[in-house]
Amino acid sequence: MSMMSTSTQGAKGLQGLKQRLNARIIGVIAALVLTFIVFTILEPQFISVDNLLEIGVQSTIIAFVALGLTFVIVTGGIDISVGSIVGLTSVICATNLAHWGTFITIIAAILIGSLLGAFNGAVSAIFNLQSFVVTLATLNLFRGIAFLYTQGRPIYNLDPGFREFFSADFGPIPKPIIFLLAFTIICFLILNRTRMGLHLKALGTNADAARRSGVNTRRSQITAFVLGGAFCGIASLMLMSRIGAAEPISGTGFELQAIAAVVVGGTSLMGGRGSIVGTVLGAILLGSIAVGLTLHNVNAFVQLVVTGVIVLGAVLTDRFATRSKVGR
Amino acid sequence: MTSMTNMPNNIIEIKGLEKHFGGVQALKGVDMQIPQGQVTAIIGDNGAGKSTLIKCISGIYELTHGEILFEGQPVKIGSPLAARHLGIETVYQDLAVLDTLSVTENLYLSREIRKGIWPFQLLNKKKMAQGAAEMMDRVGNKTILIDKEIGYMSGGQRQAVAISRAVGWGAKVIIFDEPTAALGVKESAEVANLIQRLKGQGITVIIISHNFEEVLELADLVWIMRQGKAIASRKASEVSGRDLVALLTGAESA
Amino acid sequence: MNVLTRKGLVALTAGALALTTIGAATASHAATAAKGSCAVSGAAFSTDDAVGGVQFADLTKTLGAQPKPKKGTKLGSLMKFLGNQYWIDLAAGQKTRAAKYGITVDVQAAASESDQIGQLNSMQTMLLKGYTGFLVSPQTNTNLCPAVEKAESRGKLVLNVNDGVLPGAKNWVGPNQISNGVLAAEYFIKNLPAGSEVANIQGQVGAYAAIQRTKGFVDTAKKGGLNVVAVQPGNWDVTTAQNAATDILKAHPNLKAFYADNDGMALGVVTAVGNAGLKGKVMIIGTDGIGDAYKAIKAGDLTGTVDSYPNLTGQVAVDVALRLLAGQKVPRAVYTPVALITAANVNAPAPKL
Repeated sequence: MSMMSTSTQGAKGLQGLKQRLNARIIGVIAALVLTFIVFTILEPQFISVDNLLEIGVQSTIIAFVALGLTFVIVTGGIDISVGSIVGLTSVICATNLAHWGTFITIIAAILIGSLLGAFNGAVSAIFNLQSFVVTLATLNLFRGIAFLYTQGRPIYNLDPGFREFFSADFGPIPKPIIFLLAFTIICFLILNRTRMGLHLKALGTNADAARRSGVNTRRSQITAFVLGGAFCGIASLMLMSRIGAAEPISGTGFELQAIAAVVVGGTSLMGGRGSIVGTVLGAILLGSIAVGLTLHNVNAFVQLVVTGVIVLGAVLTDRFATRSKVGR
Repeated sequence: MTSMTNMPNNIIEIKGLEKHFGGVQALKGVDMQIPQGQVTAIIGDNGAGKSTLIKCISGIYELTHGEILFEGQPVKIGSPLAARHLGIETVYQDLAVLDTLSVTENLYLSREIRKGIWPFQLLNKKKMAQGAAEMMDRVGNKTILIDKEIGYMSGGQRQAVAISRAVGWGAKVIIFDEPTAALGVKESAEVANLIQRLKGQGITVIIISHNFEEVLELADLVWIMRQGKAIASRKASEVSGRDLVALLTGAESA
Repeated sequence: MNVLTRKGLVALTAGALALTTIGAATASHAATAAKGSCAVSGAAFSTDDAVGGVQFADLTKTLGAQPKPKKGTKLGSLMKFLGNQYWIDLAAGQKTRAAKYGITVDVQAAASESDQIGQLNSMQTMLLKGYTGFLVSPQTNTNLCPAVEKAESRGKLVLNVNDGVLPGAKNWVGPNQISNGVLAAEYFIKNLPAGSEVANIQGQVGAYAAIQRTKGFVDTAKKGGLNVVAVQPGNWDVTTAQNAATDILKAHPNLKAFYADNDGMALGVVTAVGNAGLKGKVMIIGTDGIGDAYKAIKAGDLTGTVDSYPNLTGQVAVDVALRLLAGQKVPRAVYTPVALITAANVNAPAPKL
């Protein structure tokens, strides 16, 4: 049957697709391996199990923010208010943790994050505004509300049970790492195996064509921001449990680290293409560099320089190595 | 060509359609009938309102005034999806395909086959791949790699996918917006062939075109638009290219 | 929309359940509420009100001479941010003092003034390196807590330096904040007629240093017979302070003096006073003793600054850490020197240990 011939050729095409996707991931992995080799030579304890777990734990919060942001960036949008969402969500949840208990706080964190994200998405979509500008405004708005909500004061002494819930070890492995693994799989499925993920990619590739192909682009755009916000909610749970406190200033600067992780991971800021695994590896790469430099007792500013160089390197690699005529 | 024994039914009837953009009147009361099962061409100068009219029918623009009857019933076509539900598919000039998606994903976009129970509902990639292969077969393209991203493909292949997407879903009406404008001779001939085949299957075809030769060769009926109005219709067998030019420029009045 | 809402709720529940399932997997772990610098029942530690707090200069009297450090003593220091002159000076003081004793201090800081997690990550990483003790100046009162708890549970010394102040800090070294404001007020009381109008530009609302400095100034000034007509927030910011001062001058043309909670804001006030054509007629005192403040005093623009000698604070921190490591019973709060610098003493050398 002719169908048979089509699908065997399809299998070949699938192989090509895999090769191309892997090229991006392989790039990040190569950078990771190189980082590990360099730091292990400089500081042998870098490769110790303790340190590797530490890298995992330290990368988790940014990785969660970056996972959510990947969905937004895939649609060609951007959310620079993620840090403020984390800040506002964590002060609200920390203030009410004692009344709410752990389970309701978890729901509340995801819900608040989603709502703040929905606000970003809805304003962008309904008024047809660039998400950069909208989230620039809400970056200040949400942060301001967080300060007003707590009158600038930190909320500490969070319930140790709550902290254990997210931060304790599960056997030999810290729970944040397990959370990250679980949600990486969930995100991978959402982006690559669901209708929602397909529509997000379509929107990011060509919004007009997506609309004419029957995609509800407005809804997809809002969905992306809701996902982004929900993951900020999860990140704020991680942050609260890690620090044992929440402060209105919490999460400041997360947007830049998260965007860096997403970009290093091979997701295009132009939209249309995204890699969940790449994003997580990107976060881990940046995390291991930070740990390595600290171990080597290098000034924190060097870390900024190195991060900058890596992001630039990732963007340039993308530009020259995996460029197609598609142009994204 | 199929001979017309009786007056055919009109699958689409447009009555007094107006479309304003701010103060600009792009369509100033269009009345038009599209006969069922035939190939109808719409011609007109740039700015005559062809594209706007098509976008109203395919659910991209909302009408300012007037109504559209589909199979005799007044319908409101509020979105591209609504047009699809009626059985109206459009092959746009820019094809409206998504470059970063595979052929299969393009064919199934917004009509995905899924498995599982929500929220654990995943795409059924296997079924969609089978379906995609069948859809491509139906437009006579057996060589295309359905898992390949469409951005890596040639213009002809991309068009084949766009057409296949319109044809593959049992559409009653397929609109082609400048179908051959960007194609070579061989590929244009393939499209012409395809349109004849669609007509043979009883599908109504609407073509927007600049190419009078093509129009006279393919169409049964030609509508001429000028300055936001449908000013005349002619049976293709009864007019010459020169007649059409005269109508188009206003040298001959309707 | 209903369908969407329903789907959203299902997704929310699914996400929460996923988190709960993983989280609950080991909820059997006994909660370890270690009594340490981050544990506190009731109000957080207020360094100005510390019971038994002592001036650094008195330590030698009560505890004896500085003990000789053990060989191989290695301190890890977490500064707030090394792009700020105050913390650069403080870190330099720590290094100078350590070099004098032949021990090591590794100084780390976050990459920006508000990178709490970055600072925490640095300390977590440093825990792998086997330091004898830690000197910590947390970005906020609590951001270093997990690392502090871990260090203390391993029996490592954690000495809180300057600010932020750990909620239950076991040991703390730094300037008495309230005395900053007190010194400024006392100067005005001495140099202005009774009943003179004075004003304060406050730091970030809610910040401990801002609250205490303003309190010290306002309370002392009132007691000394001055009329405090305005307290306006300047949020540590030059421009905000300048605008606030301009407004205050319009509302109170007879104003005789400003006290600003830090030097940056004081320099903003200098501009406002100059713009109002009142240079030399309104006294201005700032806080911190940064280089630009010294220059402004020499130029006659600024009346004075309350210098809290960051370099000296850094040195004191090392001394106190070594005393604690030697097992001495150092009081919970050790205050470092604070002095009012005016044209009279601006050229005098900084105090030495």
